[in-house]
Amino acid sequence: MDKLFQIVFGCALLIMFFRYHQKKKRWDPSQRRIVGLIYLLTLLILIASLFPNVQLMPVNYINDYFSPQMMMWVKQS
Amino acid sequence: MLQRHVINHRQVAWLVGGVLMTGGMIGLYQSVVRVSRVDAWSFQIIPIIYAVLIAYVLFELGHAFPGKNLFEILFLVCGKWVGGFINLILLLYIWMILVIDVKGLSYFIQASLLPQTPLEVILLVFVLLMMSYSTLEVTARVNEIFFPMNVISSFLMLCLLINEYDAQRLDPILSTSLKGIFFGNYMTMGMFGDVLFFGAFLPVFIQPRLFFAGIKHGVMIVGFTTSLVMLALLTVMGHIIASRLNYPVLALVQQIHVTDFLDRVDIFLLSIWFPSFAIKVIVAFLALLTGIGSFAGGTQHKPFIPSLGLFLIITALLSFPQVEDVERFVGYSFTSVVLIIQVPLLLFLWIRARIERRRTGNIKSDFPPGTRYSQFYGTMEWTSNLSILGCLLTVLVGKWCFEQSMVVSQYVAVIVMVLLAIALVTSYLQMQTVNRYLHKTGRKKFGTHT
Repeated sequence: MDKLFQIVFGCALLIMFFRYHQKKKRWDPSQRRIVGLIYLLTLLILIASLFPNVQLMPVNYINDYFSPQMMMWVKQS
Repeated sequence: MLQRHVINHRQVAWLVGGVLMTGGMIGLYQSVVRVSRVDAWSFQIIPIIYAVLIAYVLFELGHAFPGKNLFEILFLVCGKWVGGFINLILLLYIWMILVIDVKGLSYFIQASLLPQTPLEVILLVFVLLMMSYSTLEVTARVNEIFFPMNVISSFLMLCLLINEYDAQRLDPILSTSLKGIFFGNYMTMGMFGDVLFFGAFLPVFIQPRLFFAGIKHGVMIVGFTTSLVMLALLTVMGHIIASRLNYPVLALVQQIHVTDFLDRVDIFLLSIWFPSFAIKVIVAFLALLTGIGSFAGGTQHKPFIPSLGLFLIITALLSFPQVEDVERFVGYSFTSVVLIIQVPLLLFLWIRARIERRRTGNIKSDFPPGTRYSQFYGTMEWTSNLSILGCLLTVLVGKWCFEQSMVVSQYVAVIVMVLLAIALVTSYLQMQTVNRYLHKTGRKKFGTHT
């Protein structure tokens, strides 16, 4: 991922989080918790993406382990 | 929030059509052609049956739990914890569809239109566009413009390619093994499984039977149109070239050379395809919002939009590092994941819906038997169902005939296309019959929900 984009995305995340902090009193507690959790997850993924060779996404795991086996099975038939 | 929306049967059919038609254009065709070779034109038959079965389960749910969406039904039936866990899996499934589409589309736009623009910027702009749509009603209305244009442009493309066709590229037809043909169908089933996320909008569709007929008609439009596009792809390029291209449909459009001044038709078509792709992603995003909203009591979706948008951007960027990864996933893994999630869930929901309908004494058909409408509806339903099954049977018989004599198998593709056309027309008549009956009896009330 481009470094400049990471900075821009980090700033956008901060601004959005600030807005969430301002607005959250008007929302239901359950809504507040879910939105907070999604922001937290996004932040953690952004931090993890700073480290190279860290594979987070489950789709990549499935693709790396399941797809080749399936391809091999199809080719054999 | 969803209850206030106004969606009619035509919009349902076209939304389903828009969602399914664009789903396969990125990353599916070449994988199917690689496996099914010259017989890739039959790649829609089993998926059509699967999509109709999903629509039937949604129809049963609509009857058994009026006014509830799929997520609410799961909470109601399975309780807070088990229902929450199943809903979480469903949310992961919708997120997976979104990541595939957003990333796949970003690669597609970069390859076809904006080669110098960084992928991150394309993805960001696309997600921002997606976030601006917060209701299904607006999406359905936008789709009413672009879906017909998409279908018409597909037929127009087939006409403009007339000087490029070579039927010999299909020879020897039905020479692929039965397993190869079946696997081409299996790969497409994941794409047709997308019908399930219309379960998130169940309260919007007031009459379940009209909703079912609408979905079935949408599925048939896609089945017929994409089969024709695939047939054109095979007869213009042949299976070897088509299986090696990243975007075979784009390459197919680039083959149009009508005159010297009209040789970049792909630019026109991309301006139609892009909004169509966007609509598919928007519908999936709205389903995701509905699902997350159900965890918070299902009142308002708007507070989730910015946070989910950002989450989607970062996860899409980290998924599928290469364009080939999207193709490999869609072709070889996606259907397996979809079937593992959907089949047990659909079976469970169907059984629960039947039990619920029996418990409340709501098992009678909403069409009174013996009327002119119910007779015509029954005839159309049987004709379309038999046509779909007939496609499957024709391919099987054709394959058997190929072993005996190659001459008979030549006509199989034509018979399948004719049967698909019959199923398309009869599904339309089925939908219109329900609509007219509801109008006549005054049971169709848009914009209200009981």
